[in-house]
Amino acid sequence: MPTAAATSRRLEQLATEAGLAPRRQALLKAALAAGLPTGRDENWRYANLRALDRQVFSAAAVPDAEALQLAAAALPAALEGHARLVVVDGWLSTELSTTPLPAIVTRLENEDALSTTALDDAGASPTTTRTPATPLRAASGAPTVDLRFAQLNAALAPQTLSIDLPYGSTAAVELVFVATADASHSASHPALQLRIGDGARLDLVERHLGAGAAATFSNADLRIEVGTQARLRHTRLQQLGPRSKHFDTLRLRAHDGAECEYLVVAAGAQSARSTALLELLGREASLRWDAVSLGDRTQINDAFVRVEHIGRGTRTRQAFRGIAAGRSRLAFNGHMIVRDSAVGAASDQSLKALLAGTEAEADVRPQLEIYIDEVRASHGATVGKLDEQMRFYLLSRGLDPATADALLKWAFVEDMVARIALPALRHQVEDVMAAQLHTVIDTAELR
Amino acid sequence: MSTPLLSIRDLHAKIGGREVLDGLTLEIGAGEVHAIMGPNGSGKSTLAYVLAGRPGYEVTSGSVSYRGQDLLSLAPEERARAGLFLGFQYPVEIPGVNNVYLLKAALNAARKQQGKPEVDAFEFLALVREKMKLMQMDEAFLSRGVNEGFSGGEKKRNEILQMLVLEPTLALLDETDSGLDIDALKVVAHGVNTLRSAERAIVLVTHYQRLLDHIVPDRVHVLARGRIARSGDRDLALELERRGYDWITGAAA
Ligand SMILES: Nc1ncnc2c1ncn2[C@@H]1O[C@H](COP(=O)(O)OP(=O)(O)OP(=O)(O)O)[C@@H](O)[C@H]1O
Ligand SMILES: [Mg+2]
Repeated sequence: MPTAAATSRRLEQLATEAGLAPRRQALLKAALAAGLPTGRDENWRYANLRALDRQVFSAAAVPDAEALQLAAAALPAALEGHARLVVVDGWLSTELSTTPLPAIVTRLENEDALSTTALDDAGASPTTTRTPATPLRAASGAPTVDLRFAQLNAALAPQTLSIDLPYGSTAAVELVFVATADASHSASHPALQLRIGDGARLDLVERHLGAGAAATFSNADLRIEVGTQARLRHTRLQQLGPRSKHFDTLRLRAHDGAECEYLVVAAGAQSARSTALLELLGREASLRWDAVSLGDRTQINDAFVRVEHIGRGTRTRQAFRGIAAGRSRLAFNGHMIVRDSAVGAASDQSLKALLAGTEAEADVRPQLEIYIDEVRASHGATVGKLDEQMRFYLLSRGLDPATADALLKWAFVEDMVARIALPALRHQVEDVMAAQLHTVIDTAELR
Repeated sequence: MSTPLLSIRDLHAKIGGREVLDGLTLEIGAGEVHAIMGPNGSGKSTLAYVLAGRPGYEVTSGSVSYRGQDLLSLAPEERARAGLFLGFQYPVEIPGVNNVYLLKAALNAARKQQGKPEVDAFEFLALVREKMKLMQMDEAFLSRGVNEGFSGGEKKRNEILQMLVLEPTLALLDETDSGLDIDALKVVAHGVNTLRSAERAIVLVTHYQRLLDHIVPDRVHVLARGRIARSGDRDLALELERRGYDWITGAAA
């Protein structure tokens, strides 16, 4: 497979180009020397690394008026009570964001930062002195290849958006990453670092949108630190365009008693790979990870979620629901690790995929790596077709097969979003799912 | 004699490679209530499923005519829209699809077939409320997932509720009485009785004569080893209660 080699060559070229700061060049070279992931790497078997073929990696320029206009048109209705931050092709747009920017938000110009800060060897993005970057390293023991895209982001992201919630505060933020630049001449590398102070609460909605029908390439990097007794509710929506290619890396560390609730919906992109490396470091830190992946046509969507239980009594509940239609390929790899320090940890995984197309593929993989006896761990994984009994029950009531199938598919994923507290957000998420499923039913009637 | 509503002739059907219906013949006229009894595993549910068109049941020979139409050539949903209703022995739970949605979709599917417009939202609600009252069901059931977490008896009531909303021409009720407490049995029986009319027929599959005290059948049949081994009037049910099935199944062998 020439993929990795050709991609490396292009990146090397980029590294030697004038205009790329020496620090960035060094980062790129380090990433290349360590090697890009290939299909032979354990956690990258299902990722579409062909998405890197012919990809131009240079960061997109500051968006011009036309790009901003495209981005503005792509924005969904604002969410009540949420400050909106819009990042276009990796650049924070103050025009499209809430004005003035909330005090908790800082924009870090990486170019400046590069010359002043030391870099972590695992390749975190450069940071300023104001906010020490949150998880800089790979979670202990994670193969560093899983961080390669984060390293590329560190080398190429024009800015890092920093959100810092002080002790005991509450905020709601909608973060919209829009990709407009065509992949044939540049890429979008958005970066976020987020620190939720002790006892603080954050509702975070993160969207990845494509503007127009552009064939975009994005590589996002998020680093999150959740303080003691802090709570994060994070809704991630990948609703990029049908020609988009997307990679993202999320690193999270949760301290004592922190509660992290995730809902991840992957829908639009032609190809997406999401890497999440999550550390439950503090005692009783808890994580809920609900993920929905909807594939159609020839879409490829791959997610790798590694959860490391380190603190005593840490808990994870993970659920995945995927529907693979057409000739799409879905994969979800949930890797649970329980360290010997995590006495009384609990982990529960329920991973289910539905094959809705004769040529569709789905792979769900729960992995347990446990170094201690005192653990409660359960997991279930199934890949199947629509339930024949349910289907016949609906048909026997006179519903036509298309409606019955649509209802059952909807029912399969709906309970994942039913918990979204904010009705407007829930409806938006449902609309994204309904559109992706080409559903023939009026989903509003099912609320 | 007018043509019967349902006419089953020499029906043979297989499930899982096994012949379960073995030359079953049965006629049901409009306005009639028939009870089908018989030992466990004799093929009662199989007959109901074959009539409703459940996939996996292979009819190897014989015919079924319903209102003069070849029933077996219709898809399951077409049978339902033509007025056939199956009350399941084990109603299926469908989390995520709420009851009221299913009721409405089912009713509209039937109305569409009859060339009628979609039911008006207010009319529909009034209709459902009336039927729920009849079934002594709390309205909270409407917003719950279809049969999701319903008790055994609640599921059976829900089947009858659907039947009352859809007003089928031919209702096949497969052990709708099993798992019902004494009061619920009366409620369900009352629901079924309200549906009785000159143009409809009802087939009750049951193990218990008790149900037939409340819904008095015109005919009682014993299904054994895939065929009707004996038919009679309601006294046959009383006799079965006393004597069991051995004297019939033995004779049928
Ligand atoms: N999928 C299947 N594969 C093989 N055999 C089956 C299958 N489904 C049903 N059968 C068999 O067919 C026979 C008839 O079953 P059926 O459910 O029709 O019986 P029944 O008369 O309704 O019994 P009960 O009174 O217990 O409800 C049984 O022996 C049953 O085991
Ligand atoms: Mg049965």
